[in-house]
Amino acid sequence: MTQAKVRIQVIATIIGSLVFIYVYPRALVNWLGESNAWTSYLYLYGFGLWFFSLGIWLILSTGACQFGRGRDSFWFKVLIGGFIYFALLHAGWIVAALTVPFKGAV
Amino acid sequence: MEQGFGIELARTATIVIGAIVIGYFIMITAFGTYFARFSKDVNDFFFSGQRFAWWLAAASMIATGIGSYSYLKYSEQGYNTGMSSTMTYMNDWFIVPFFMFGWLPIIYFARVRSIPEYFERRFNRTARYIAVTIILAYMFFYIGYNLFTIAIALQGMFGIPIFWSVPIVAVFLGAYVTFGGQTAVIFTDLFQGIMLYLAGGIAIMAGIFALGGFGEWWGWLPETHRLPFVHLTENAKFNTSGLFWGEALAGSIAFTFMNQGFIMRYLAIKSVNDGRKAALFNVLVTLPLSAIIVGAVGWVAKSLIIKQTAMGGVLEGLDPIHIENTFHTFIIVCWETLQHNPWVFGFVIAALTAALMSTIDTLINACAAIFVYDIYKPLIKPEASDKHYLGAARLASVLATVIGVLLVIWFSKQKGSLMSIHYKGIMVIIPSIVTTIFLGAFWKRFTAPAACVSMIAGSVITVLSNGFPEAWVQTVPFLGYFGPQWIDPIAKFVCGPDNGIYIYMRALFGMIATGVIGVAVTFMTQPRKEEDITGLTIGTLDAGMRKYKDGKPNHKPGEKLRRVKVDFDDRLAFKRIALTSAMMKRMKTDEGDMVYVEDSRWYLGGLRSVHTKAGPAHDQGEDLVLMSKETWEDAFFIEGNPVTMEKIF
Repeated sequence: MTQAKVRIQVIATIIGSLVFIYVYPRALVNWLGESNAWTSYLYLYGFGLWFFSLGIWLILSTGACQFGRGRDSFWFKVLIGGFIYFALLHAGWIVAALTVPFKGAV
Repeated sequence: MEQGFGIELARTATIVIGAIVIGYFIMITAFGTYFARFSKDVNDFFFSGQRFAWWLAAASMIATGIGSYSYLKYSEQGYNTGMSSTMTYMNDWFIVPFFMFGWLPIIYFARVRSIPEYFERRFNRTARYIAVTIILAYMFFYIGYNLFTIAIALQGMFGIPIFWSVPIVAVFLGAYVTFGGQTAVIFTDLFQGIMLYLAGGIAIMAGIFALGGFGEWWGWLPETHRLPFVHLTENAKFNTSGLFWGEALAGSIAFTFMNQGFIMRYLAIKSVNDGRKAALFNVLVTLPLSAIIVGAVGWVAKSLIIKQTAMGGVLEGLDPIHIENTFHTFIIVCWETLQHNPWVFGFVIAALTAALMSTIDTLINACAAIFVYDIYKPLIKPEASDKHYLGAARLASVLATVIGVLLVIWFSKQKGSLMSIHYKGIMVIIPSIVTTIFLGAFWKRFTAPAACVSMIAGSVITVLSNGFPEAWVQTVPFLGYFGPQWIDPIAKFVCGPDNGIYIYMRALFGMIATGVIGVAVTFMTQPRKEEDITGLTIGTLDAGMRKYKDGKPNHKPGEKLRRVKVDFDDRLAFKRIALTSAMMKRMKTDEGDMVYVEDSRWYLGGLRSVHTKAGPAHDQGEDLVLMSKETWEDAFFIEGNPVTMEKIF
């Protein structure tokens, strides 16, 4: 990739990130409200995914992770799997918290 | 008698608990000093010669990550806000790609001894000493804080004055770290990690049992307390948006990237691949489990109090539980649910002190590493024998312990809660250096002047964002321009709390300030030549790997050979081995590849092991490995014991 293309890609990423950081939480609060349990979840995992994706883009674009080299492919799958694991774990947790009745309210 | 922790201990119970705690201290000190024999030189003392298996390092990190304050702080948080107390432990995955494929291979292959050393090699000497100042401030702060919190706990329970308990604890602690080094730290932390989980598990199970089972606990827990996350912004001191930016990003990066203690643990592991396994285990298993161990007593406490109220003020088989000061939640609930049993309670308290020892021993060893590698060797005595540096390292361990003890005097004079003292310090210290490490490792254009200027200016701006006392502002109105109002726009931008109380948001502010200054100065200055920073940035890792091996890496996955016999051949150079052609084929090893040889007993975790290079194949016909007596002794092998071998690359 030429130097100019890299520069454009970096600038686009910075502008895109700033727009996302500004718009995403506002859209979320407008949609679900601040007190909804899923708002906190989507805030954390939305921004988490953004930061995580920056990391993935960085390690792939710099060649720090190369598919087919040693165990890199395995570790790459672990990275993606780990993100999904935590996202599902927390989602399941919220569902369990909201569905089982609270005895103190009876 | 009524103690400071809101529990009543009879004299006999106090003696039993005290005896268990002292007995534990003596046992752990003896256990740790045993490992002094495995520290031959200064490299062993700090890094154990890059020899350990991933599981040993990962298991020992359990105890390192749980401080003495963790049980008290997180049980309180768990009682107040519920299972969202786990948030700080379970939001680290987002930074894992940067660590696994970036920072870990960079520091490992560059054979960096300390984070400040990285700063000199990546930037310049000035950057190194700015980093030394900030990192030592961070570590001394933690040592002093840990000693202070355990002293508060001991004072609360036994009435021992702080100025007696701290030096006594420090003597036990300093003894095994000073003589045993990193090997002692790893093995004692492994043992203490087991103790921590066991004691935490007992405390939780006692609570669940007292409630009438798991279903009862969950059923009596209010919905707000069952959720894994808190409200987005409502609680000024604990909210999801602040925790994401300040803790999941800044805090996690600080703990993973610049905590010299953790970094040294990774550098003690036998390979980057095993380092990745340790990181994976740490984030996926250790941290979530630790979150439960330190916070669950608070969750149980909430259910107990609600059920107790619903049942008319008392639960069957238990005395009424009253938690007036939520900071005492852990101690009160344990004491009550363990039915005032001093033996089991003593064991749980011993684990609390274990948490202190296992966190501080790592920090003391890390401070000593920085003293030797960043101050003593480059500035005071550049040319000396290894024995001399080992002596200096031991002296530095004593010095770090003494400074930690002295800092307790300062902590004891501070006003405010333990939490506020903690975060007031940490969230000011970390942002500038975390950002500089990040930019340095992931952006090769980032320059040395930019690193120096941004670290200093970033730190100053972050400190100034705290503002000045009201009395000062009234005298000098200009000082009113400094303060938390600087953080308002950033908090608004990310939809964070908008209340002027910024605990975690201060870290985000500091990171942005440092980053902006760093980028601006970078574009005004010339970067270093690429060959000067080979292996020190993510884009030059391949070259770093070649440099580490002193040859072309061989990435072909090969077989691990187990129970191989050893024979001596003193014609082979130190740390050179010879294998048969058949063995080399199975391992997919070529001449010159790095081969790790360890005692076949897996449970030693690499305590007896050595990194070697494969020489030309031998033709002795039998499947055995040849090495010199010197190599064999360096690995601490035992005569007659077979070995396991694997190719590194």
